[in-house]
Amino acid sequence: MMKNKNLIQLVCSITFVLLACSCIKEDFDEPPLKIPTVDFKANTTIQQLKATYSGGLDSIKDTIIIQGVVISSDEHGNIYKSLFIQDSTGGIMIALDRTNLYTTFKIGQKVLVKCKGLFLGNYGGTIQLGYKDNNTIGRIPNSMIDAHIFRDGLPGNAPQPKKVKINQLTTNDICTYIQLDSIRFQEVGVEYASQMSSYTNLTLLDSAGNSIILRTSKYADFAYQKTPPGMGSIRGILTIYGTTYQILINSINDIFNWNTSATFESIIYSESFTTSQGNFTTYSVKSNKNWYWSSQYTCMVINGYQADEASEDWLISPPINLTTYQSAKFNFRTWTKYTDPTNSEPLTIWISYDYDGISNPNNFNWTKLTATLPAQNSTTWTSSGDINISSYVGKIVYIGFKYTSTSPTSATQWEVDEFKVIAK
Amino acid sequence: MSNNSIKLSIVILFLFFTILSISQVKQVELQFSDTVNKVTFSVPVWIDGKRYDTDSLGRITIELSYGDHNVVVMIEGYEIINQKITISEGTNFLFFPLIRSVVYAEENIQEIELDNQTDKQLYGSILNAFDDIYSRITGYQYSQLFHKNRGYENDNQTVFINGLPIFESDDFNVNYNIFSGLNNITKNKINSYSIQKFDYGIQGVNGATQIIINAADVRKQNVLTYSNSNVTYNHQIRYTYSSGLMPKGWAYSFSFSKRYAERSYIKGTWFDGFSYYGSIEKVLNKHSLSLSLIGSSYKRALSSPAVEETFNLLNSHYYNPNWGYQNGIIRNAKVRSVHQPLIVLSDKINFSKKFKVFFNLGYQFGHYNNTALNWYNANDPRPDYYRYLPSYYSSDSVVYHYTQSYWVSSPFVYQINWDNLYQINYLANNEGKSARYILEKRHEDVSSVKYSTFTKYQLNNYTEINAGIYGQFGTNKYYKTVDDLLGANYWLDIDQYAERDFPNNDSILYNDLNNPNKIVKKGDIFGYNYKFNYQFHYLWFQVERTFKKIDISVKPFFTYSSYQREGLMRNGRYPNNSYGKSKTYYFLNYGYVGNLLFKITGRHLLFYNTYYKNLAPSFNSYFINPQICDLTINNKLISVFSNELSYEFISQMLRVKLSGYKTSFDNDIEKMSFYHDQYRTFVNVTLTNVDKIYQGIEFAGEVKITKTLFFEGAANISQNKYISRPIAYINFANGSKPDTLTTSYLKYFNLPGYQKIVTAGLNYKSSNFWFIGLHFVFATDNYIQVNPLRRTEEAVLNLLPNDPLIKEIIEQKKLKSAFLLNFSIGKSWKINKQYISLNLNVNNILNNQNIVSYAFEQLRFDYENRNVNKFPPKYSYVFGRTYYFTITYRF
Repeated sequence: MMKNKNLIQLVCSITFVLLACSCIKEDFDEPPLKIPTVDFKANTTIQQLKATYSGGLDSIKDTIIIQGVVISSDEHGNIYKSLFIQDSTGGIMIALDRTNLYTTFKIGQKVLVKCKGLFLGNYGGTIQLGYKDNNTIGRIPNSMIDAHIFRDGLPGNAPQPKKVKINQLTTNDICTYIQLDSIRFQEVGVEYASQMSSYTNLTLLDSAGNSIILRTSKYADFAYQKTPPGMGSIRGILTIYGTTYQILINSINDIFNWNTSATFESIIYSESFTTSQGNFTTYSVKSNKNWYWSSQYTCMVINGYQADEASEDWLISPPINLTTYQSAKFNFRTWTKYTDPTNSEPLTIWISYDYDGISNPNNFNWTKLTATLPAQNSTTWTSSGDINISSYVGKIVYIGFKYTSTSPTSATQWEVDEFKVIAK
Repeated sequence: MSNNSIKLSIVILFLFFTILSISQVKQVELQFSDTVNKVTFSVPVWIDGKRYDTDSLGRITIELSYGDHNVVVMIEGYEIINQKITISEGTNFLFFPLIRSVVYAEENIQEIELDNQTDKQLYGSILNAFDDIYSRITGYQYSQLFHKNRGYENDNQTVFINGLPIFESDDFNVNYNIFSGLNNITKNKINSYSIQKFDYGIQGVNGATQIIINAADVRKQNVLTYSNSNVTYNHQIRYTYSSGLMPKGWAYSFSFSKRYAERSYIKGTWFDGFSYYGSIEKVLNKHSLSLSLIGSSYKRALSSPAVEETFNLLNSHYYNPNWGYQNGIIRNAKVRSVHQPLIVLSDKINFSKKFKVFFNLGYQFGHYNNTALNWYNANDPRPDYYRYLPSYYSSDSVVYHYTQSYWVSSPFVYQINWDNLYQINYLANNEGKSARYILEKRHEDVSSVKYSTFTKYQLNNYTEINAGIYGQFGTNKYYKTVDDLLGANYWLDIDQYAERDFPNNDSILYNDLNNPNKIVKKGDIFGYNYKFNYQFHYLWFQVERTFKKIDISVKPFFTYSSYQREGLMRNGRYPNNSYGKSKTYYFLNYGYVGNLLFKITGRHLLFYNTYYKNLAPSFNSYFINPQICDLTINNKLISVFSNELSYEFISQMLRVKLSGYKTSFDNDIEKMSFYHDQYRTFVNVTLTNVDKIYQGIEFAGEVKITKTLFFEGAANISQNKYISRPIAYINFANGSKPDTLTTSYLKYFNLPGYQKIVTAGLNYKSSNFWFIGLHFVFATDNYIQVNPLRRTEEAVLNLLPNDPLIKEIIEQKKLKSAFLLNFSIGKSWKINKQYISLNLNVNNILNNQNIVSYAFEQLRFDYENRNVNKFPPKYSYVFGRTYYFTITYRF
């Protein structure tokens, strides 16, 4: 009996030591890479699909299948819940209620879209493929995406963007991948997107001065980065809002080939006197008729007629900083009425680099400049033409408009507007 | 309620004044032993409501007054002894044979672990299952409901192994992982229910247990058990051998247990565990030296609570979002792996019969870790994410119905789509980018030294002095590793949440500034890495004085604890207070336990127990976000005050106990955290100034209707509520929003758990070696666990006072009542001196699958639209019909 017991004890113990090993399979085989394929073909081009759009919320009832290559990526947060695809005829935006689309729909991925059951709509001039949201175009619900959008093969190379010029853009380019060269930011050193609003529009300019909007989401991972000086290339997806073209970039790498030291002329100061005299100052040396801002004409006005004596009145710009530029010029426009027969130059244009901004200008050094001014009593707005002040670069300057009259009964009226300083 | 208390008090006071008589005492020796199987062991004996423990030969010598006394012995596996004895001049020695019960009532509760805080509660209730009549009747029956005794949280119970504390250093919960699966060993224990007297350490308000594992004190046995069940594990095979104390003073004991289920009750869950125990002891003169090792290593795949919508869609309350098919095989993302063995060196010194000293030294080490999915710049892989569910599209009925049919269409939709995660990673590989999805492992490594020394000193016939000092000190280490890259090449250790919110600050997104842009691969540490260095020391002193009619015991105690966080990474969000050692925080606390027993007669007993303690907050609640920084909350002392009055009547035919209790927690702390996908961060919410009250009446009784038929029943009617307006400290882990404080208007909200619960049943024990029992449980007044952030001014901001939305936001949902019917049957055969027992338990035989076991409001709240259904409550349900079959062979 005792021996049996010991035997059982031993057998049990050995058995248990063997049982100590784990029995649950936990090493899972890695699934193989799957290459997605489709067993159907596209029967409609993107352009043809867009052509069927008849306005409003348009339900697609026919068996329409389109095919395209993905040109957008939401990886960097600028594009949200939408997928842009293009074929050789055009591009379209598909609104999807899913985030992180880039994890499966890479740029360059060929996709086929079964459009039947989806809707076309118009958002600000951009035709979208989506689903209805009440009575407007909305996103395709997450649960429906897999029944409509199919990947074909692994992602290919990113398509080459079409090189275009801003003034050559057409509505056919909307929702396609484009590239603009020799482009610059109107505002340098500002954040791509402010956190105060969902989207920020920045103006891009080409060398001919044509502009286009760069639209950036506050959730873009480059929102806090600053716009660079200089010029270069940009690639992205063209959209339209109303009649304004906008470009959406997928990542900050779409601002490329950038030469930050490239220079170009830009308006460094402008004053249109639309609501006030702005930062301009006035100084009356003589007479009680002075420069004033006219709310009627929204410009600066002076008329020495019926003053207490002959006038000498100055209209002086705020200090204009030319320290960082290589060249500079300015222009404005003027208008005049009445005659002052003995005064051949009732208005003269001056520049000073030592004026203090408040005192009598006659106590400082002023140099007279030549500008195109209207003929006496012409009552025609006349552009001054560009007045070169490149000899003043490196300095801070003031520009003065000096008005004089011969007497209170012999005085002209002058108006000044649209003052701009352009520098490079 | 309070009326009842007052009435009770009057009755008790009246009884107290009737107790007045003095009589002579007599020294008597009692002996208890199993003569049939020639087994002796230390037996707990209750004489007139007071507990005594015999020596290992089952003997005890005590002083008893002349007259009638009541002797009760309840040992698992043996018939209950409930006998009146009469002490007279000639009484010197009384012998009580222990008779093995006809069916060996196996403790057959399995832990059901959920991925939430309820998980270990179950074990707690059965550890208490004996000694006290209330917990004996209810412990098993209530366990399936995840019922927390009196509503108390798990950290209110203390468990000791040979006097060594085994609580988790970071949250004070009992660490049952040490011994799970070793039922034959852990049944050798001494329990104290609620705040009753406990002689081995400091109890919590929900009682204390001392488990004795040294070989000589483990009952002699040689048992092989096989169990089959459909709950947590399908198969368990267990073998236990204990030599008892052998003639040359040696004793040895060991036990092994293998538990295994390829599929537990809930689909996607499995269990694989191996538990072991061994002890050897040598008695040398006055010393008895032992060395023991106890451990349980297991892995299990977990289920998680889910929203009602998913249950409705799949027409099952047992939907488990944690798994999915990978190559046709079920793979669970949440796998827990635990192995934290304890080594114990003990020396018992018997200086005399009246003076004993116990020395115990222990070392615990090992791991506790959990896997989970993590993802970077990718969609939530969890199939029950709220944006994937039909309700997210409830505004459009066509889409809603389409999404319904889509969601249920395939397990690749309503379960994790592992293949999709791999494919997405493969595409990222092509671009040279880091994984979009990984399986991470969150580690907690434990290394803890435990010590305990306590004395039992019988000063004279009336006075016993027990005192002890115990503690644990060591280090826990917490970190994450990559468990599986899911086909990707690497993982970049940055905080993607910080990346978006602070794109201009490069350093903020690094989890470790000392290793910026760290590329991690399988097994590498990432995310967080820190240590918790701690010390806990406890000193207690208990004096017990026995009078003719009154026993009184007083136990003051003192505790000392110190916490220090030691960061091993310099986190980009907290560069100055995440790396290196934090300040050491010290806490000095005290408390007392008072126990008074009025022996009206040997059969009528009246207990008054009182308990007070103040305590330090746990490390996890004291540190706001220990994973990444060493910021702490403003410490306020937590205090617990509890009073209990009980009356117990014991006779041959009837045993009843009625108790009233009231426990209050002041300045308690509750900590919770949740993932906020809008801010893409974990949010830590620490509630401070939490005042809670738990009060109620408890009844338990058993009646011997005939010699073979027994009736038993128990009930608890309670009120468990918040009674203060806590301050919520809200911390966004990625720092995307500044930390904020807000008042949570929780006053008079109910704490979770059934506040009215009753069980009753019949047991039939045939003399013909068989047994049958049928019990029901009815439980009601259960409330959902409230989200404190939904009871704030911010949650109802700008709503007019009569807006019906206010009620919708604030009201606490009451859960349905529960009804369970449980059945058990057993039969034993005695073959020579060997026993074979068969035992079958069928629980919830009505297969009621609509009983909520755990429900909580999600912490995330839709402040913009105040749609309470956007982040609806999550639920887990009590299992339907389950069975547990055991065959036991004792030889």
